[in-house]
Amino acid sequence: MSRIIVVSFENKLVNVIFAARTKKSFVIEDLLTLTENDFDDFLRHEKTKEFIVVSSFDDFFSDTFHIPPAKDKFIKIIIEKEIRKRSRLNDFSFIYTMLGEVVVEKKRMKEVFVFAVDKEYIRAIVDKFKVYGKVVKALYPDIFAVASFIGAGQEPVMGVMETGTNKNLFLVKEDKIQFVRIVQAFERGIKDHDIQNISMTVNYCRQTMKMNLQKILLLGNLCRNFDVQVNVGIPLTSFTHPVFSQKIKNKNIGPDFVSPIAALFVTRNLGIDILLKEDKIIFQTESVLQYLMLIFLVVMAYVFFQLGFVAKEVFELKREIGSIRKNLTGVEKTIEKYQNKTEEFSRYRPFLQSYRNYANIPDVHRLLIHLSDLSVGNIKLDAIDVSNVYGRKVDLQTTDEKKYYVTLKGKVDADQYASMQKYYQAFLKSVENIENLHIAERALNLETKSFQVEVIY
Amino acid sequence: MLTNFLKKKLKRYLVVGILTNALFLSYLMLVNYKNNLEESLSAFSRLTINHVKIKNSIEEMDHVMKTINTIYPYDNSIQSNDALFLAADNIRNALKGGDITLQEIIRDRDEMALPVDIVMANITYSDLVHVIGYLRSLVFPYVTIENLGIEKEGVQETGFHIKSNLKVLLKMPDNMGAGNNAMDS
Repeated sequence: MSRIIVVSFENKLVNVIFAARTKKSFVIEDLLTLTENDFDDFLRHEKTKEFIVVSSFDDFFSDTFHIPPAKDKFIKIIIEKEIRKRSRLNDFSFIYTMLGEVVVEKKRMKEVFVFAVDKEYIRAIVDKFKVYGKVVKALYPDIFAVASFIGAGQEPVMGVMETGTNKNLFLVKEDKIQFVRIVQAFERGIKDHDIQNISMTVNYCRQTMKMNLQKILLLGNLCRNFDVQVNVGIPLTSFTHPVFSQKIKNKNIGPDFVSPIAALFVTRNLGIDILLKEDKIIFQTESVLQYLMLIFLVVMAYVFFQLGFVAKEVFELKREIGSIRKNLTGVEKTIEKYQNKTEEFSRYRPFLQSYRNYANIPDVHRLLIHLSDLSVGNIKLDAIDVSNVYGRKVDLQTTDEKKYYVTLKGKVDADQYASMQKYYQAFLKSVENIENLHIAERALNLETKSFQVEVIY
Repeated sequence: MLTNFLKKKLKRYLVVGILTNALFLSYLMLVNYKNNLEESLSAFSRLTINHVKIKNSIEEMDHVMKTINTIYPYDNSIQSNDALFLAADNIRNALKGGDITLQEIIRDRDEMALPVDIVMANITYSDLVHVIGYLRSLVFPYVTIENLGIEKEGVQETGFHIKSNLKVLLKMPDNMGAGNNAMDS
């Protein structure tokens, strides 16, 4: 919840409220009533940067007049010219409400209510804040803030407020001010004399503006300062709001702070901010700069945090590199030694290659031992031939390998074909059992009893 | 009033902006420096590994050279062709009774080869196995068997006797002299 401070300049006093936004309303956290001198001290010490300001203006121009229909962008210019014509103001700021369309001398015209204040008065208020570097988010005339707050609908309602001893009478319909009148009085509160003035105003509204008022609302301290003997003829009620019943320091807020409380509820689209254009630009720039600074500060904090991390990593890396460098002494010597050794070793390469060739030759000695272990039985081996495989037409899967082609010739010592075959098969099986040896071709001549087995080793 | 209001604040915002930018730049520079350090660390790690590999290679080369020196049976004054004939003499001495024929030295790739035909008659199979085992044990020069023919001759008191025709190549590296010099150093 963001804290909102509303400052209300009411005659010689300054009412300040501290509020916080809730889902649908506001919670008033504190209230202050200051003199104008104390207000400077308040601004000096208050840390909040932004303020909503409400002011009751003693001197202002208000009127209702008609303007020809025009595009929106020209309406403001037309109204400004009209104010210059009708008032004695030269340098002023104004707000206006479009009341509707009327036919005047068979011409369709727009009825406008305007409220203009000399810029000097506005500058005097805003400068109080600027001195202390504070930002004024909006400046509302009190009657406009209150008019939008009292919730007037289709039926027109008259609000009565007090500034000093003067009474501000304003007519509100559909949250829009239709008419304002300031009535001088000699005493605070509502007296018979004031009721007479109110009656006259009601009659004016009825006769001139053709509006029948439904009720008169007493606002602010007028709710409890009421001493009247005469009757107006229209219901006269005190305005109240749920916020008034909130308690600050065990005491109800009450209706005295109606202007600043009303300002809390003002929405931007009401168009009742009378702040000067140049001030708006300055304050908007200030707000943008503040947000930028906030972003910068967040970025700074993040970068600072990251910087710490990276610095730690850099420190670790440097330590690690230092430790590796310590252990890397003598690299140049090693490389030099390696180069010398490689040169020396290159002269040994032919020997190494020869040795490898030697190691790759199939071991004929082992083959002969295996052949001597063959289970020959009735087989008589007559000849063995071991040849280097190169130059022979042999289906070898790995022709790069050195292989030997071994031919075994002999006879089977048996009279019966069956036993001949049996001994021959036993011999073949025995040959196949020899490691790294497989039979390529074989042939048994049953007539001559001779056989020839060719194996690859 | 207007300009003073913003002037005062602008200075502060400007300082914060400059500080933020300076900090951000420092951060970028530090990150860049860190990346360079990481690359250096990676390079140093590779260097360390390669250093160890180089040392191992040196040790391996030393070991191989020592082994070759150990198994090479001749002194450095012997040329490769001489070594081949010396080996042939040794074989003849070892195979008493064998008929040995030498042919001309040939060159096979980077090697010199001396073709030797050995005919051994009236020997037992066991004798032949011993002879082949002996030939297999020779390293410099080493022996490749091109052909081995075994035929049965007959039965005697000691058992079956055979005749063996053996064609072998005695092989040595071609640049024998250089190798000798190398081993000498």
